[in-house]
Amino acid sequence: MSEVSPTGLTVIDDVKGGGHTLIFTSRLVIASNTTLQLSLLFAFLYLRANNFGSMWHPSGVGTPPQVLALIALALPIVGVVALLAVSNAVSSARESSAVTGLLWLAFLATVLTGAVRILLMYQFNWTLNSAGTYADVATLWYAVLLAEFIGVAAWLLSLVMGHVRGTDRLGSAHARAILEQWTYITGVSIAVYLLIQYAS
Amino acid sequence: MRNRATAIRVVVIVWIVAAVGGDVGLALGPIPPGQASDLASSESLVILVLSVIAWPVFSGVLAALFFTLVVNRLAPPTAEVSADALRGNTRVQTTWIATTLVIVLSLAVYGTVELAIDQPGAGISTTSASLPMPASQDQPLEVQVIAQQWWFTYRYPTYGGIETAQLVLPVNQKIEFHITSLDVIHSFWFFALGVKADAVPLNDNVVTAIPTQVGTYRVQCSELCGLWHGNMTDDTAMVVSTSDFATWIQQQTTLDAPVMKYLPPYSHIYAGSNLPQPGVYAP
Amino acid sequence: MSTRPTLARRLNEWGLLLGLVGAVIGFIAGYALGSGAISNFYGAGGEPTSLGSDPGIILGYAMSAAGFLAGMGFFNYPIGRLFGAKRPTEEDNAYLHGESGGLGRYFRMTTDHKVIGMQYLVVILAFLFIGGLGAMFIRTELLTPVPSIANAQSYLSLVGLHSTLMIFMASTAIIGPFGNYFVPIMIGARNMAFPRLEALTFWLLPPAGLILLSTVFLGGFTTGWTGYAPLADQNVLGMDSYLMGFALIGLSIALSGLNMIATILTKRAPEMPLSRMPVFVWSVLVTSFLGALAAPALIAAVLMEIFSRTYQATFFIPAGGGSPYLWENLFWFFGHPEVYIFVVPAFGLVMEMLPAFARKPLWGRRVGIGGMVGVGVLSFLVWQHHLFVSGIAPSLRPFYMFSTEMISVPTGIIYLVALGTLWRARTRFGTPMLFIFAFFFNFLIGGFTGVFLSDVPSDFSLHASYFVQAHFHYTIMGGEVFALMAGIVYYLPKMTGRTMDIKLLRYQFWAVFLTFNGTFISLIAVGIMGMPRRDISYAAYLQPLNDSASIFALALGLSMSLFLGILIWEVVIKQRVAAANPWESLGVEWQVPTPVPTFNFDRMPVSWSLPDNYDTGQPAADFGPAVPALSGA
Repeated sequence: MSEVSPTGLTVIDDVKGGGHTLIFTSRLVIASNTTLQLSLLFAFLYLRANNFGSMWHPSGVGTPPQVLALIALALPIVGVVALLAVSNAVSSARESSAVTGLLWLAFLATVLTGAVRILLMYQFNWTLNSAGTYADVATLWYAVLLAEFIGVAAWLLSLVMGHVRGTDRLGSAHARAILEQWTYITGVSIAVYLLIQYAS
Repeated sequence: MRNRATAIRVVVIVWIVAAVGGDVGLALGPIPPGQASDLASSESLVILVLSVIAWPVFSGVLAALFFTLVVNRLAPPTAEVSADALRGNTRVQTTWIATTLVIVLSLAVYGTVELAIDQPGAGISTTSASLPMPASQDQPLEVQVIAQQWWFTYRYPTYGGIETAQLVLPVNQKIEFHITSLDVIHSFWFFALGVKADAVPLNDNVVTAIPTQVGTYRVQCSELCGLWHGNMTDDTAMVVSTSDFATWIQQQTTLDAPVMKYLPPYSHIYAGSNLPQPGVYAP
Repeated sequence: MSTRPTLARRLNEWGLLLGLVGAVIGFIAGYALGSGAISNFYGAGGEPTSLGSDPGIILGYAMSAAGFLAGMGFFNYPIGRLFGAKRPTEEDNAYLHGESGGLGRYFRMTTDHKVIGMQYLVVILAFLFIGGLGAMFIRTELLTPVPSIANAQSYLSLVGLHSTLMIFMASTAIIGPFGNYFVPIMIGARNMAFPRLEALTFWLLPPAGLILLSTVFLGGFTTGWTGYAPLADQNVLGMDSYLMGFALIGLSIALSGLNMIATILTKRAPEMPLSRMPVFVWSVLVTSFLGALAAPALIAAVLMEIFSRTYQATFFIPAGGGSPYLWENLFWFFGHPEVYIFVVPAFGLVMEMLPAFARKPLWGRRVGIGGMVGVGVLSFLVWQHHLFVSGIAPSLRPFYMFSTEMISVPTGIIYLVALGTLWRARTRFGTPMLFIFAFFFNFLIGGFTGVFLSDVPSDFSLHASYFVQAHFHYTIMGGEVFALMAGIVYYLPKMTGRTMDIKLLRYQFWAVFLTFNGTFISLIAVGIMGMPRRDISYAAYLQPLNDSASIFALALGLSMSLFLGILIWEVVIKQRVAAANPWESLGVEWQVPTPVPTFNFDRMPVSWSLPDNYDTGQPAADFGPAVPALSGA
């Protein structure tokens, strides 16, 4: 049950039970995002299978640097673990200072993820118009994922700041929703990495 | 009550007359795209069958709408309609859905059968550049349609790969069109022959048809391909007798002789630096 | 509410002006950034012309849209939360919700779904009429078989503008005004699940329209609304307007879908199970799933095309490893659910209005809802019928022929429901009922012409001809736009307390119905006789039919203008007062007072019924004995 203020304008989410709308919508966004990822996957597989003009992956075009790519995958996993701990702590109403620390850790992980992924994209050493379509798909896909990581990072920051400044009660629904989004995007980025790196 | 029964009878009779009359008219009248090729005849048949089935259904639904809206208003007030008739009737619903399903499935099956007859294996062929063998009456005559902004040209590999700006075909000869493009997507539409296929760069789109009527026809581009798409039509496409065709080929070969060395070798697709680079407007 | 207004609130009051300032600043900044810093990333940024370069224009548009939204105040809350600012106070929320009343609410970011519904109505009508002007130009040009008043570039650009603007209009013509206005009321909710998001989905429309219209300053685009590559790669700068405009619309469709689904599935009154939900709300639910799941494919395709035009990526150029089929598949994977986004809300709206005129409950309600769900699901499985002659693998064609034919079955169920409802009904022929009848007539023709297109052998002759054009005009204009007009006449008394239902309107109906059919029957004939679409020139023997279509079309334009004229004259200028419930409808939206209270319900209903109990006369909501205003849960 959620409380509605007398004018009906302000809705206060109960820590335990509220936020059904938020989680539900967060999962809808995941569904919508899935169609976007599937469209990119279709482009990848279709262009690779047909190799039009022998320009899918011409010689001289490499793959993204391995080490940076792996770091870019490890960092969000740290964030997943931290958010999982936060979500568990909030839903069982445990002590709050640990939660604050975990939230900052998660946020740090997201910021570093973004930074590393930007650095990674700088390292792509191809010129798009002569590098074939593998390079095109890889660049676009990494750009889309970067935008998604930044979006979730911003959401997480608002959660952290609200908690730290005491302007918002950290609800379990909120924590759970952001955990699901972050896990989903991390999972997608791992799958994309495997495709781009090994199925080129 | 008597009024309503009479009204139902009148509407049904009008519908039957309209349906039968319409179907007879359809069967008698010329159905596009006409009979100028085997493909066109088969397409005309499909359109005729669809029309003959669709017209009674269409007019029937219209008649029912007319009846319920206009005539059936004379019916007794709502209170006299039985309660279960008010919100639904499973039998009626099931019958309607089953009937529409059967009609639609039959049409789909019929269409698939006709498609298999018309175009066995047609569509994208391999992108090999193999040269065809000389054609005899039983073997198809390969004619390549090259679309570019903004004209169609035609190559006849059987006759040394000459390229012409006019399409001339021998009658009663199976023609195998190989349609490709040099730049953007076009579409080769030979209405009278019932041939339509998109011309896609680095793609070979294959359609076969046997022209059966001598005459002069219109060929047009039917996929928006840029500024002069509307001008990419040609009223001089001809289907001629076999002897006239031989004469014409002879003339074209002589005409083409001095420029043959500049033409790229015949291939089902054309790639290379003569294609416009992406992002650059090709004048 | 007597404290001095905060700075944020005063900035909000000037929202539209600030938005325009933000748009200009955003464009300049984006253009500079695009032309300079970013254009050389990953490769050459394309050849700049005197008007600019592609990265500059695209980034300019993107940042212009962002600047507009920032000026309107959409980023205030998210950025505030980034810094951990306090949640808005009740006063702030009340202001945003338009508590203060007045006309200013309609020109700024307002979170009241009823205000947003009215805003949508105005912009939809603007798109409809500006797009219609384009159509008048096209038909005037086509009076002659050779170019007369247009040249090739202007003709194709106008074709593209007319069609793209109409696509923008049609994608929210019914959900925008009526979905936003009535869905919360119909389900007993106070507001949408995400009111600020709802305002955003509306305020994406004016920038999208303006960005599209600005193509005339950049040379126009020659691809039509389908934007096929590689022609799209070749086009001059005006193509970028199409891409950015469509991207914004795709975003609006997706966000609106998410908001509607969340509202309908989580904000319904507790006493209303899904089975007791009005059929219009069901149609909005189905459509919203289509929007949320299909729009991302469009966004992917548009992003690829933007990359192609800015960084010379070769997604669609075979010589560079790409394929035009990639665009066709992604575009139509979105494009086909998109046309059901147009039409399914029309089905729902018509089925919602029908019982009030038949004075009978909806017949076969569950089957009708099942039909709409079936249409929604099937719409994802048919898109390759747009590619029948493209050269796709022949083995694919029978499946898509089958799936496309199958879609007639759930669509036909709507007719079953209508016939059953009107059976033995003492039908009242109110003006909306005339438009509803025309909907059924027109869509019948549209649907049957579709059968000819779904069959591959007949499609060989009919694809890309005027037959296709007539088919989709019959379904979209004859279907959705006529349903829109019915809905406007039906719901204006509720939305504005005023009516446009005068005798002249009934004459206008006959004018628009007859001229519409005259135009498009001529075009069916022209298409059967072999005239391709989008051609400025045509065979001379087709001139009489084209002239017939053009004359009817010009008369159609006049009839549509008459509708708008009556609307403005009666509702805005003369302010003709309407009865409280002129159609004597039992729907809950008619039980709440006019004007609708701020939170829709002064008191919550204690029980809900179906809104079509015309046999018993029981209204949709039972408010029980009067109780004090709600407090707490």
